[in-house]
Amino acid sequence: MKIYWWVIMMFFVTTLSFSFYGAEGGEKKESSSVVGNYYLKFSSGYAVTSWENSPITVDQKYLAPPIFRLDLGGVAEIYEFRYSAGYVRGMGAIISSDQMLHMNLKIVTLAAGGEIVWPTASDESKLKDTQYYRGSLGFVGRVTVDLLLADIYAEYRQRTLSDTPLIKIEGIETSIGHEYDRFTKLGATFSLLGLKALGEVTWIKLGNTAILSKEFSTTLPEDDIFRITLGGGLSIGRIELLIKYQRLLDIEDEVAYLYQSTHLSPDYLMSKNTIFVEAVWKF
Amino acid sequence: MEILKKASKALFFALIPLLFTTCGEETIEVVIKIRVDTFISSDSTANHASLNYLSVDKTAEREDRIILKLPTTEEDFDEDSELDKCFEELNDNPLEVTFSMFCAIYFMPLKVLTEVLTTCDSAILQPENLSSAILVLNTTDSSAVASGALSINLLSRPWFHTTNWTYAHPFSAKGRWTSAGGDIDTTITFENNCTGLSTGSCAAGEIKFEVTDYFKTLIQDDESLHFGMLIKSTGDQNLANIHSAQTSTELGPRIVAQYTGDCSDGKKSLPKVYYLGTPIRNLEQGRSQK
Repeated sequence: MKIYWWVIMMFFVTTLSFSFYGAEGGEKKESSSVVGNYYLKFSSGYAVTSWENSPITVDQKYLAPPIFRLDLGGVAEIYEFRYSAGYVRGMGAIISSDQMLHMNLKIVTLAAGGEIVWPTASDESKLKDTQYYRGSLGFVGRVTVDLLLADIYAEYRQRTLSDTPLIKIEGIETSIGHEYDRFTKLGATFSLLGLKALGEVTWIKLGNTAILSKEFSTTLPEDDIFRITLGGGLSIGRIELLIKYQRLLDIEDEVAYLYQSTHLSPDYLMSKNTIFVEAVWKF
Repeated sequence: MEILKKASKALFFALIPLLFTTCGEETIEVVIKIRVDTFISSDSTANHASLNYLSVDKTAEREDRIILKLPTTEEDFDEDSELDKCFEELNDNPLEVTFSMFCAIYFMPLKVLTEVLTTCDSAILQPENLSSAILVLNTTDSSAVASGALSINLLSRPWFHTTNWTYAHPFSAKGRWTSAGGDIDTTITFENNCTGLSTGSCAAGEIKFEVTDYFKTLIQDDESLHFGMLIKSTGDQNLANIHSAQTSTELGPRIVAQYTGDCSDGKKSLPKVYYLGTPIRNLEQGRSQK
């Protein structure tokens, strides 16, 4: 894990250096939720609703959204990046990063690249050796249309999740595997007179899930759910304060969902209704 | 004395060819320990998988039933590889079922048997040579369970260690038993305990079920599926505690299978020593010769 942190820090320093070299003066128009060349965002989440039952591997109180999450991101010429660390109770920090190529075409911005998600946990972590302690590699592509008072964007994200142990009983270990999950998002942000509003709808296709051991197998078929995100807040100079409400729709089997969906960060999908507060500093 | 020595040598060398010819019919007994078992209670959702005993009883107020499963392969189980196979099968056969399907990991008790093979045993341990297969359980206090007091049936769907009276597995709302207390496969039936045994009888504290025909079917087909078995009381029955697979004794649930065949494949590995004046003796322990 020390080696991993060192790689991340080297990459961070290198990309920041490159971005400062290529920085342009003045504010850039928004790309997704990014205003200015760079941003530093602090956020925290609160799960409004709980599930009727916990998964067999862990109490659902450990599936709460990250107590706090720090994002550092920005655009430098053709390079766009995001580094996130979300601290999850019962696990530790979930590190994630987007590394993308960025292209400005007047009012249209294109970005495409990859994503990596990596969990960290101590041996005492409640979520260690569960389906939630897993990494992923992914692809992300985004189109943004920059209008006068609004941005409209569409994003596709695909994650390939790692297989993990699920539970060990009677000396037999059961594992869980997922096929890739897909996120297709449409959104818009509006800014006027220091006020900001946003709305997003995301179609999430959770891939096939298999639970397997020497003595047992079952499969959970791929499932479509929808996520609605509404938010509003203030934009004062280079500071933005936002509150967002997220709701998940079309979860038919809530029992199976807790094994099909293992997203705690950067996307949080472990509560039907969640409130997030964000403070963004653009620089 | 010289004559005696020469005669002994001559006899010894005359008997050497016997090493490479048939040894006659042999019966080999193989014990297959059950790895996964539990009991479910009509008045509780508690998980009993890790207990060192099983419970079976029936009263007007409540009932306990035993669920167990014959083991699959003893070979190294590569989870990643098996998960990949599972997804391949899912993508080839998209799911349109009323309950969660299972990945077709074929349960092959025969693979368990291959772990105990010697070259001579391999000739005998063939499905067609199976002469007897008995499922044996033992009560924890050696108390007797009346003959016919317990029935055994096959289960018709996969179940997880945490199964209970209501759910076969906890991973989906469709993990619920169709029939509370376990979904039974009625196409195959068995005799009640200690009746119709192909070999032996029930000693004190023993519960035995005759499963020869079913076990032979299972090991003859490489793609056979086995989800497990359900043991329950046939009538009102006092509580009987039985050693589970987690017992520290050798009295956990087990299949005792006997194979009778002719060890004549020419690859005998049993050392045999013939001593003039003494009975022919097999130096391998725990085997019987006919």
